[in-house]
Amino acid sequence: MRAIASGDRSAFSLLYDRHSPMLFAICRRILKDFGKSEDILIEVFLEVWSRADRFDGSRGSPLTYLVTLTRSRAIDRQRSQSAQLNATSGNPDSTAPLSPAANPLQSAESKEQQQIVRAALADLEPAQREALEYAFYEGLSHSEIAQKLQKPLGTVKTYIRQGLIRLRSSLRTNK
Amino acid sequence: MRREFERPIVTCQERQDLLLLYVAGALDANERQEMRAHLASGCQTCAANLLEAHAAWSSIPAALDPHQPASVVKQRLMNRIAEKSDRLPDSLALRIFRILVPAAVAAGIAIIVTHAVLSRRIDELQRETTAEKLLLGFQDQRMRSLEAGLSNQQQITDMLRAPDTRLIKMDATNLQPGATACIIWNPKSMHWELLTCGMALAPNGKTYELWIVTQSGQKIPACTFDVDASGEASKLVAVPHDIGPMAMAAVTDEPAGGMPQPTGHFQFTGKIQ
Repeated sequence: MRAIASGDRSAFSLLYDRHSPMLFAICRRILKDFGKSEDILIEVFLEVWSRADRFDGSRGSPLTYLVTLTRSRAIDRQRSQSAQLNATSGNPDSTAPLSPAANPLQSAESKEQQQIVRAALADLEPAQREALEYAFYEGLSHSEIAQKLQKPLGTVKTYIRQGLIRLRSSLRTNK
Repeated sequence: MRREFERPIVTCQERQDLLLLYVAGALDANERQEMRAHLASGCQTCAANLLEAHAAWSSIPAALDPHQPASVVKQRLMNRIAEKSDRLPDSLALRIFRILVPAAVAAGIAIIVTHAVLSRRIDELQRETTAEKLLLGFQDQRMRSLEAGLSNQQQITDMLRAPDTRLIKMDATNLQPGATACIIWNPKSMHWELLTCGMALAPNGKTYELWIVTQSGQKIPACTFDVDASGEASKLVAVPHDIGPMAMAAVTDEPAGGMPQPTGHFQFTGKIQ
């Protein structure tokens, strides 16, 4: 990130190659639209290029920063899109298949990470996993999740806490 | 006080799990505020746990199948970057801005402060110079006054030492209760030295005047005088030689500047023997 902050385009290109597949997957999962996902991906990386000097490594890894930024921008776009759809009854490309890419650039490290997280999530009760996904990908509030799952608010909080404890524990074990 | 006891005490161990809800935005407003305040207090344990919580939260999408965006996306991105870089990298511009603006502001403040300090110092020096000039003027005046006083005292001393010096005792009228006055008179040099003590200040617009009254009843103005705050006055008067025998001395109050003949009230009278 320091190299990017000093204007190093090759470092920026490397960062894009390493993380854009996961970030693009997040965009597609949230927006369910190919074109908009591309737009958000570009928007996120432009922001990284412009504000790399503000990145504080003591507050998290570059990946945590990128995931947080991408999720936030995609959810914002999704909300404004939903508001427009409610007004115009438009037809988003929500049926685009979420086909995995060839993944030539996916590192062994990220594959391992994927297996760890998948295993941790698989250990959760379906409702717990669902609560986590609603919170993460749709940015729903916990009362909204409680409504969707028809569970008490306290239960939803417990689901999320347990899910994250499991994830944290798995990440600690496999550090 | 009771509320303090009722408030649950949250330990950093307990905060470890609460931090997971914090990063997921699942804490209520009070809990979130308490957590922010605690993190802002600089707790290293919770800061480390926060990093871990963020890592756990942001690992959720790692379970997704990655999707390689089309190569054209990267091309579009890099074109946009190139456009920005042709102007000036935002980060660089921002850094220059962040360095130059505070530096300029700091320099401006320094100039203003320096100017203010120097102006103040110059004003102080000018004031000090003015004050010193005034003080010197005052001291000079005081010196001249002391010299005059000394000279006067010397004359009085000389007059008192002279063997033929005489004293005219002045009697106060009821207008000057408690006041005393006398005249030291040297017939040889024909000088009077009037001394007063405890006299009231002359009313506004008036002054005191000393008179020489001859045996023929002629009233000759000798001098006008004023007394200081303690009612004291010391006045040396040259007595004309050709006025003939003197009968008495008197002091009246007269309009400022004095009068050729007495018009006011008698303050003192003294017979010359």
